[in-house]
Amino acid sequence: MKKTKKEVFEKEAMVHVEALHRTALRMTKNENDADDLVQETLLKAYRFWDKFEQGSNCRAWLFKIMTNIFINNYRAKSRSPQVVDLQDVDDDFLFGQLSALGPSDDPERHFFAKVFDDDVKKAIEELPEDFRLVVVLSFLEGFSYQEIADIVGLQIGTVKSRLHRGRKLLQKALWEYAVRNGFIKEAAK
Amino acid sequence: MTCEEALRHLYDVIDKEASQYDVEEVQKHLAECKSCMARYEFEEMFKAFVKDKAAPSDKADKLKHRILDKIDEESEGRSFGKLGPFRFSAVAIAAAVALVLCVGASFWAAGYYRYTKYIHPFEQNHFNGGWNIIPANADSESFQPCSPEIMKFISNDLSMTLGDVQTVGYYMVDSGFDDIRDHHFAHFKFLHGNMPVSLYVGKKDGVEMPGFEETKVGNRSVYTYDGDGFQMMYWYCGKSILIAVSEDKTMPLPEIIPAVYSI
Repeated sequence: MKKTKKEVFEKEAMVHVEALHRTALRMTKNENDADDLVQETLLKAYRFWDKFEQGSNCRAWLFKIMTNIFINNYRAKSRSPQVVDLQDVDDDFLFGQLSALGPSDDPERHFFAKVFDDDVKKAIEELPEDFRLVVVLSFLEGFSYQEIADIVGLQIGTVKSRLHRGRKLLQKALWEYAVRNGFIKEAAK
Repeated sequence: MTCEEALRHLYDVIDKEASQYDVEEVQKHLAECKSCMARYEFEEMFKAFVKDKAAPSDKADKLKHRILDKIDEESEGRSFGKLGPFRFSAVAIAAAVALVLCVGASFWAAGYYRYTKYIHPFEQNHFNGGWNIIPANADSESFQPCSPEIMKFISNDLSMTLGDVQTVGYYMVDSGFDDIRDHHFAHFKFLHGNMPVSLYVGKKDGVEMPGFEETKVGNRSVYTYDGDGFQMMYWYCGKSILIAVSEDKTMPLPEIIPAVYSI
């Protein structure tokens, strides 16, 4: 028997709800908004399901829909100018800090042990929005540069540079969290 | 490959964007260079760590059920012609606002569509070519509610502002331009349940819509026409006229314009 539209949709699209929700949470920073954003995304996808080219990348398509809704409806609420000063952050900022601790036993391992789940989530959420979007799509969702460019509607070079800067900011923030959590003190022991 | 070159490829390799050739060259270098190896390992760990800590939410299951229920609700709503609780996007409303129908130029003499076999030009476009306009979202994945050209037309030529209002019952599926009798209109296509509604917006100058009845909606006048198998409504907004057309005569057209009242 031929599958109904809803059955196909469930199988192809609904399996991405976890991933969409994870990204929505980091983007909206708010559970209710994230729920609404994902719901709106899937309802829209369902309405336009016949326009989706079967066999193409459903996950990327859904993220593109979600990104558009986010940019149009959610971002506008709290759009403020983004000033980001990365002048003093080196590419190898975090690695450099850890290396500077000396050849003691495995500073990376201690570092990662001192950064908690909530720190990571918070650090992501505190990234300026332009960077946050590409970092989430790359780090959490594993999209390629080209896919991210398509989803967000940017040139691939812009994606790369935002990802690069976003990564630096993220590392700097996590370093600060680790230090606050007592990382240096313990590492010095 | 030098250390500098190896590090230049760092993120491309970590993000799996580097070419096979570069990856192999980098690997050769890493096999001989402890410090670059350490850096690569660290960056890889860092990326995996971030992903691991921001794991998928455990609440997604509940959400999934909620969405599936909503889908059922909507499809039922449609097959039975009920009002679906669709949210207007900001632009859709804008469109609604813009919806002022520019009914026909002066050559649409009174009686043109009442006493002849001709159907009303707007009705005609609504039924056929009207839906076949420059599709603003031909690329439906992008879901741009309307093209920059339309936005420009609305804001520059008509001096209208697209409000950011939410309403229910209609949602926009397409938009484009439609020239009716040499008069330039933006044409927004909505669905109300499963019933299409057309909304035209253009300059009011040169448009005459004979045969309509004035009705008060709040303190605003709208003009309605009860056609044979269709209904139309128009109203003015600044220097624009907004025209709505639907073949569903039970559809409460005035409901699609609440956003317009505040203009």
